[in-house]
Amino acid sequence: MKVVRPAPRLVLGGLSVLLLVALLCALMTGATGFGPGALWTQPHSEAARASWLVISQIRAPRAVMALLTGAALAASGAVMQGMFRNPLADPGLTGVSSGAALGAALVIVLGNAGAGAGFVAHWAVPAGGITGALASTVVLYLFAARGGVSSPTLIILAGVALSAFAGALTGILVFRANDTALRDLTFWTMGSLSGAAWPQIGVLLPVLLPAAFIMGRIAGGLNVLLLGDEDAALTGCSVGRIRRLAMLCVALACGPIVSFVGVIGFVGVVVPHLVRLVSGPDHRILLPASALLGAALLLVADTLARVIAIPSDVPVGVVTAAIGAPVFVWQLARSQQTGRFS
Amino acid sequence: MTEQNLLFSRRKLIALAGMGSVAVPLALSYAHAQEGHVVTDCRGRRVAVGPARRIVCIGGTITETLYDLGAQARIIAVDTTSTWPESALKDKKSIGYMRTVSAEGVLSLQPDLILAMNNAGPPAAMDQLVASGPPVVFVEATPSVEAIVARTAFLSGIVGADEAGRELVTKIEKGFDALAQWRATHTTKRRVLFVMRMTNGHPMVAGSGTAADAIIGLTGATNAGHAMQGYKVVEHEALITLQPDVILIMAQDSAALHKDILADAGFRMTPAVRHDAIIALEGEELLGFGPRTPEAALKLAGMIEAASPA
Repeated sequence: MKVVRPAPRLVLGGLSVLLLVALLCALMTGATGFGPGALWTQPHSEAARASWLVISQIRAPRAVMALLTGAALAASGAVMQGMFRNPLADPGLTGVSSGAALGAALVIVLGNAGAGAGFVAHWAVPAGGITGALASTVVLYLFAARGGVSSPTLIILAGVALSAFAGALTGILVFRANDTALRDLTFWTMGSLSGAAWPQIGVLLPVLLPAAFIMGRIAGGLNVLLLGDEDAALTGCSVGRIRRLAMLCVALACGPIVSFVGVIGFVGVVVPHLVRLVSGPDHRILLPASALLGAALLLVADTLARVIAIPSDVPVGVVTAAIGAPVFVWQLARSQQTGRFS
Repeated sequence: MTEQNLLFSRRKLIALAGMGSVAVPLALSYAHAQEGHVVTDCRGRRVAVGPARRIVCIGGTITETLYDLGAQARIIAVDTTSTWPESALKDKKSIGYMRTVSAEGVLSLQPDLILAMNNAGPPAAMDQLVASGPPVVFVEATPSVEAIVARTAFLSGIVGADEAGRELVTKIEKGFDALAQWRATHTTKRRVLFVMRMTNGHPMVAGSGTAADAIIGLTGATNAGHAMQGYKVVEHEALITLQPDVILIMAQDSAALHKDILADAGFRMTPAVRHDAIIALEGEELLGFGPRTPEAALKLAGMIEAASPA
């Protein structure tokens, strides 16, 4: 069946515009009602100074964090789905999410004092998360690399088992936690961009850029993998190498992100599908388009999370799931009618 | 007084246990319970309280009250929230944190009475304690003036210290009278925000229905987080709209928290941080709602005023 698809340039351009609009909305909305207006009309007034502080120090770091998180999760989701040829694969399958959750929970519960010097208190939880994420990816990687090429099913199952095991350990910690640690833990597992600050973004960028670079390099390879492992190997493609690179970039992209913002579900699974419905399965378009749409979506969701229940901060994971799941089902139902999603 | 008694009963218990039966000490304490009086606890359960010579206190407020009633010698173990008096956690065995109690750990101490705050937990462990023999009395945990008085009278009845109980209640009521006078003469209503913690950059503050909300109200100040229910994470920009004049934290980890608050862009734009009005009080003193509360509230009222002059 010949499917008419919009030109890649049109898709990427449209998504960029969408992202820009979402970013502007995020920067202009907030509890204080400060807008950029005062900056133009009376740039040297007290009000302008205050709005500048709010926009540059509170809204902007959080918006950038939402953007990076959405992009990293969605692009990683697309990589995972391509590498496993499985529509349900998400970044969590490499064990990054559960590993990061376990690492962070260890720090929250065992180092419960939450005290120590400010530096330790600020960076201990993310550091625990990154360590956990990398450790679980390494375990899965070693398993996958053992004796050459493993079947995707085997890696998926190993990933599920690993996640379940890390989840069990986290469960033990939850059981041991006192209620203050439990509150931190619940909040963390629901995912929130509340803690976003410029220094964290400074830490993220040097890790995310190489991840994006690797994704660019393997996009073509992932297309070939869609043929199936045997056929892909027949075309001269190194299946094992692509799979290892894919796991590496997903761990690089998601490990630190999950450690900073907690577990935000849904974006990684659903965004690539939404993009595929429009622009087809070519990873050279799918990966950047997923990143753009993921970023825009999470920005919108987080803006809602900030203002929906002023002065409380709603965990953004709740918002993404509440909005995203119905939209996704609606898209699926529509594609069933047009016969496009197959 | 009871030093001797205690020794004696302990010896008896050990001797009996030595005779090779584990069930005997439990039966013994059950027999004691039969001779004592019957109280109705805050869950409406009717519990026969024995001589209460081996009490386990689950909740700092209970420990504090029993010490004030002069019944400390009858306590054998306390939980980790029993930070006052400071000797309590040193002299008595610790059963861990009040919400993560292990039933077996408590029972191994062979208590003849378990006094637990109504919000002690986990619920499963509490159910096990109730089902396992020694009388368990749940004590009302509401953070209010009336509840403190009722709690004190209730606990003095249980340990049979009626005289000391009446004195303590009088002292507490006098304290609250002094507090009311203070409120009548200091009418500036400042907005106080209690920040519990800020792990990972999430500022968690007290809304209405919390002990922090109650004690802020007692000082005559307004809880800046009153619009929320319970302890909530506040969005950083919304911190500015809460406009706290004073930020209140717990002294336990105040150094790190203080630093985090000063470093936070949202907090920096509040009157409290601009005027460096961040004050700290020990957690149990602040939130315990025991006999110390009138003095603690008065102290807090003074600290709030000093931190943020009208």
